[in-house]
Amino acid sequence: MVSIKSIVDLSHVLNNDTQVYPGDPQPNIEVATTLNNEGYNLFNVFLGSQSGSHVDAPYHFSNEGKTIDQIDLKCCMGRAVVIDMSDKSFDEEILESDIEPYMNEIESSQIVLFRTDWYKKAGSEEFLHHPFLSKNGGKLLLQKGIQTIGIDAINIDSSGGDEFPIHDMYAASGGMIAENLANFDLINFENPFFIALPLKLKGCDGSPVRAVAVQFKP
Amino acid sequence: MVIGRELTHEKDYCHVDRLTLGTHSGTHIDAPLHFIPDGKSISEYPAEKFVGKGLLVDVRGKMGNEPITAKDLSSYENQLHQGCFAIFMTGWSDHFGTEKYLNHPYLSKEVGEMLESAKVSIVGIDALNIDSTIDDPWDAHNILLSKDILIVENLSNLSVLNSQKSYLYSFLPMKLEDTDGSPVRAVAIEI
Repeated sequence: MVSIKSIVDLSHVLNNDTQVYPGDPQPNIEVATTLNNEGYNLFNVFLGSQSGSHVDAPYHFSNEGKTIDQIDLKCCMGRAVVIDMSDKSFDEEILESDIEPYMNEIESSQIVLFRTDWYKKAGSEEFLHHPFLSKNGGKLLLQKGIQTIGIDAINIDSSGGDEFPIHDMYAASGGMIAENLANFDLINFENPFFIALPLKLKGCDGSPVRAVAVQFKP
Repeated sequence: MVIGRELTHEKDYCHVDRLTLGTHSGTHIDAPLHFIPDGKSISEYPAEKFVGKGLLVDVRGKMGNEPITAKDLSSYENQLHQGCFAIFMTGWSDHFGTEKYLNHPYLSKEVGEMLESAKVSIVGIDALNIDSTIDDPWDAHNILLSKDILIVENLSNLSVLNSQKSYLYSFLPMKLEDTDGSPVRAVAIEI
C-alpha cells in the first residue's frame, strides 16, 4: 500500500465574498444554531452548484448528459499532468501547439490540468479575463482519451460570451471539467494524483469540491 | 436540504442549481467548533488531515441504541495507530430513510477514551451519530472533538469493503470558512 508524502490543496475558500461567475447564485453562510442556545454550532449554507472550486457534469451544458450524481468516481481522480500556461495573458487562447510538448506525459495520464495562475486574481474584474482552452486544444485532448480536464481559472472556455465549445464537446463526450481551482503553482512534484470528488447531489449539473493533488512516497 | 433551479438550458444555455444545505446534511464531517467553545473550524485544518489510511472496525450485529464497548474494540486495539482513521461499520446505513435509522448503535464513553488515547485522527461511522441519538449525552463528540479528532457520520456502503485490504480514505470537506463542519463525498480508494 502506498503512503502519502504531501498534499497540495487546490481549492478556493468558500465564504460570503467568494467571487462567482456572473449570474450565478452568491454563496451565503449563516449561523443556524449556537452552543449557547441549542448546545451545538451549526450553519446554513447556501451555494450555487458552481460556487468556488467545482466540477461540471455533462448535464451542465446538455439536457441529455449525466448529472453529477451519475458521474463515475474514477473520472474524479487519477494521475494528472500540469501544463504550464502561466505566461499566457488576458483572454489568450491555449493552443494545440501549447499542449503538444506535453504529449508523452498526457499519454501516461488520465487528467490534464492547465496552470494559468489566474486564481491569484480572484476578487477582481481581471479574474474574468483569463486564458482559455481553444477548440482545437480540447479536440486534441479528447482524441488522446482525456475525459477529465481542470483549470485554475473560473472557466475553461472564454468568459462573458455565449460560446462554450469546450463545455459542449466535453458534455457530448461524457467527460468532466474542474474549474476555479487554485495553487497549481505549488505542485512541485511529478505525477500528481488529482482528487476532486463532487457531493452526491441528485440531479445536479455540478458540485463544489475540495480538490487536492497528492504526492505519494516512491 | 433543498436543490432548486437557478439557470436552465431552455433560457440560459447552461444549467446551474441552487443548493441550500446544513453543514451536517448527508454524509458529513464535524470539526471541534460543532461542540467545543472556541474549537477549531473545518477551514482551519490543512487538506492533509482528511486523506489517510483507515482501520475498518466491524461491529455489525449490534442492536438499536446499543453501545459499542471496549470489548468490541479490543481485537483491533493493536492496529489503532496514531493518525489513522477508525471506521465503525454498524450496518445501520441499510436503515437510512426509516425511523429505525435514529435508533442506532453508538460509541460508549470508554471507546471514545480508547480512540483518544490511541490518537487516531478521524473517527467515522455508518450511522447518523457516533453518540446515541435517543439519549444524546454527546460524550464521544466531546471527548474526540476536544482532542482535534474529527468525526465523520452518515457513511454508507461500508459492507462492500474487504476487511483484508488496505484503503486510502478521503473525507475532504468543502472549504467553508469558519464553519463547524461540511458535507463530504467520502470514498475508500484501492491503490
